[in-house]
Amino acid sequence: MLSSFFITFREALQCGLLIVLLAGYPELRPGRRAMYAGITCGLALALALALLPALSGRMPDIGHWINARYISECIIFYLGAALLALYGPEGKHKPEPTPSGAGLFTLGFLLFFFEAHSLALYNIDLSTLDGAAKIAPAAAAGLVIGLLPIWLLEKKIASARLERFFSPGSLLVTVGAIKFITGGVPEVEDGDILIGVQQGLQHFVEGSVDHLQSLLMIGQHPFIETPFAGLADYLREQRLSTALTVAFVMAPPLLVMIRVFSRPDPEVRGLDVAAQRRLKKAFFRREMAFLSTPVIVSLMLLIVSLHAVNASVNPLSEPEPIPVMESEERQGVILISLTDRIGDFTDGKLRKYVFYSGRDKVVFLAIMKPDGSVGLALDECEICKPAEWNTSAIGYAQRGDHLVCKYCMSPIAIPTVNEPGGCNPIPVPFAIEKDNIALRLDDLMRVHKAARDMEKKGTHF
Amino acid sequence: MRHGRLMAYTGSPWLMALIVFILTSVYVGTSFGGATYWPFMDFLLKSWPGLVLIALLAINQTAWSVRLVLKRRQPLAAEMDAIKAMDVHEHLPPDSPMKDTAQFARWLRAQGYAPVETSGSLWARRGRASILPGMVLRAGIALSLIALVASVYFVAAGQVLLTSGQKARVLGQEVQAISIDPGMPAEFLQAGTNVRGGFTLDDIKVTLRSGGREFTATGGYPVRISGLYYRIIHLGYAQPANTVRGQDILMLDVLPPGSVSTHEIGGTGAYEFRLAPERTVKKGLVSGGLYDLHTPRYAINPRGGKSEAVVARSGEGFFKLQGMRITLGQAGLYVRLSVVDYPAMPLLKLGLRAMALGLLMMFVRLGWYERRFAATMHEGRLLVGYSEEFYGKWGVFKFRRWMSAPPFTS
Repeated sequence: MLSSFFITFREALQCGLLIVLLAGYPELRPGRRAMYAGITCGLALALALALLPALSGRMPDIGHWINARYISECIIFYLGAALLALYGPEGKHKPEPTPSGAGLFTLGFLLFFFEAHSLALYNIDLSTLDGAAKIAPAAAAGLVIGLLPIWLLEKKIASARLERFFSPGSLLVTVGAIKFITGGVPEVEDGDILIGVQQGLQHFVEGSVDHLQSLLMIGQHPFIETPFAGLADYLREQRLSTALTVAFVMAPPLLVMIRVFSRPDPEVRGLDVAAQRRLKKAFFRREMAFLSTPVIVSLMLLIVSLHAVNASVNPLSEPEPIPVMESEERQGVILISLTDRIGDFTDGKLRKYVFYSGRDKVVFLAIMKPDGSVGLALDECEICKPAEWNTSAIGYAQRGDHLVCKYCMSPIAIPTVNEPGGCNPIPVPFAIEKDNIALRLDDLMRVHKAARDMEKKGTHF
Repeated sequence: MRHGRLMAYTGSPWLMALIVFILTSVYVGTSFGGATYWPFMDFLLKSWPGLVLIALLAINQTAWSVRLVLKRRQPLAAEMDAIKAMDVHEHLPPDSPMKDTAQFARWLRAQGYAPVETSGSLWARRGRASILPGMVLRAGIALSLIALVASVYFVAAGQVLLTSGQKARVLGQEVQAISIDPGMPAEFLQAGTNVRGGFTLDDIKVTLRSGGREFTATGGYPVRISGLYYRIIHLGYAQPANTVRGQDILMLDVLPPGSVSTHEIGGTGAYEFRLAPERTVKKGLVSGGLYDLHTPRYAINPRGGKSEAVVARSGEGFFKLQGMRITLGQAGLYVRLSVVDYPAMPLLKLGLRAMALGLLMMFVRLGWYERRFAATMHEGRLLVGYSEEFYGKWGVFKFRRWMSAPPFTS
């Protein structure tokens, strides 16, 4: 019951504060009732649409709703940029138009509809456990209290003269940016719009590169060198899609900043008194500072959000080593199944194993490469040898489609595992027998011993 | 007027933005975060709404360039209202030394402009051709879109597998492989066992004869002969295997070392072939196999069999496998060729090159852009206006500096 109240309150408060911001803007104030009507209709429709599958016993397909929410948030975000681009800085073109009642109704509808739908789904789920009689009042209370700021703060915000800080376009960009960060109900929806954008762009870039190669008849081959294969592999990596995501997110706020700072200083030649000239310039610069502050704040929030997305898309993943022993059926051989209770090697995730031989502890890693072959190597390289106390820097972790040496943070392309040299993990010979990796103990211990001998010689840096 | 409005709408950047928005929405709406590039391309290139959108986009890019050319060719308006609508304007004071348009025209010429005088007013413009990089880019986009559609509807593709000396017919043309040069080293050292890394052929060639002409196809860019494009897309060993039932030519797909190729021999069960190393070589911490690629050795065992593999070299002796005597002849090579009838390829290449050129040329726009002056006499004094295509703020500062200095002030 409490979680229903708090989560509904939280989402309603987020929406309420945005509505207060919009309703307090002078050019939008006359149409604020249309906006409230939009929120109300959005709430009612969301509840109805959430109840329908519940009443018919079907599971709701949340994927469609998440995509629709992403599209609506992008529309709000880029609509602001479109207004700025269409109408230019003050004095140059017509002033930005006052939004119509229908436009404000739609804005209010979009601001809360998807969150309301997710909240309704969440509360319907909770009510199957705790009963509707407990959940419904808690959710309603959370909704009412969360939307209270609309009534409490509306007049106060109106007197804050928001036109000093926003134009309609920059206001929409700021609202859109806030929606990017706060949009959706995390308890119901698994994902973030920026992750969705980045993944979508990644798939599009990969597909486009493949398509272009096939159009130009220079499709890649496992061992025949093809023109621009290296460039194609480079473009397929995540850095291009990440860069495009950054550009997608940063473009509207940067457009606002450009619009603000591209306004020329006021003409002061006609003023005879120097103090009047300075005053006029000071007012202008203060106005620029006011106009740029909200968008700078939005920019900072988006940068933090992008960083969080990047970290979540590419976390440093390091599994715990799984102890392995000599096989009972085959003496002198360690057999590692390619499919076991912890998963299938085809998931492309790094796996680590540890073998104990007397006092020796040998940690090795295995991973399936994109071409379906397996890479197996010691969890160390020939070059890096962190101090023994620095255990967190020993070995490799996985980040996306690379292994990363935790000591020097060099990225190692997964297809190059099994290739010796550089910062690559030291390869160990092995064989694939049916669905198992067959690793001879002799080979493992020989390579391990050779690595220890090299270490003693001081070839590790 | 109607034509002008049509040109303004079809050549508007907002139409491009709208089309891109529709396409993005379609992509997002159908993706659910999954990989939907190829279904999206099917929608774009094989459904009538997608083709309409592409056609609109191509028309939009062309109309955009035409609209800009027409706009730049038009004389500037030098009336008072038009001057006041420019980025910045100034009504010179009565005591300004700059008294009339003739003086102003002389000043403009000194600045490198070619002023045009029209009944008491004048205008001048520089950087008119600066729309060129954008035009090249848009032309590239339009051509590429047309070529993209043509690549779906006007293409025929086939593949043919040839050994040295073999003839085959593909897409109505007879083609014969005269010789195959794989550019393979005699030996290949591979670190570790059962791995595929490090094996790359960058100089593979096949000499072909078709239509009375000899030419060379490679694994790189396709070669165009008699309207067809030829390219090597795979290489393997063509290994003769003789049994009492006759000779089979096994197309072994055992490159790079570690790959397994399964074939029937003599109509009996399937056998797995893989390259067997000559010897194991130790290099530092790593040991691996040394493979003879010219006269390969194979490890052969029945698929699903539990016994150890038989090792046999091509061209040497015989061996028995599951009671069957097998003799391996001298291995040759085979290539798989992709043969494509692709009339849109030159158009696609032209479009992509134009796009790349246009993008590169965009850098010159940092300094190359349109600047406009206009002036007219109003109330006995000169009214001067100035606009720049980009950097409006600094254009305004520049204008004010000019107006604050001789010959505009004494």
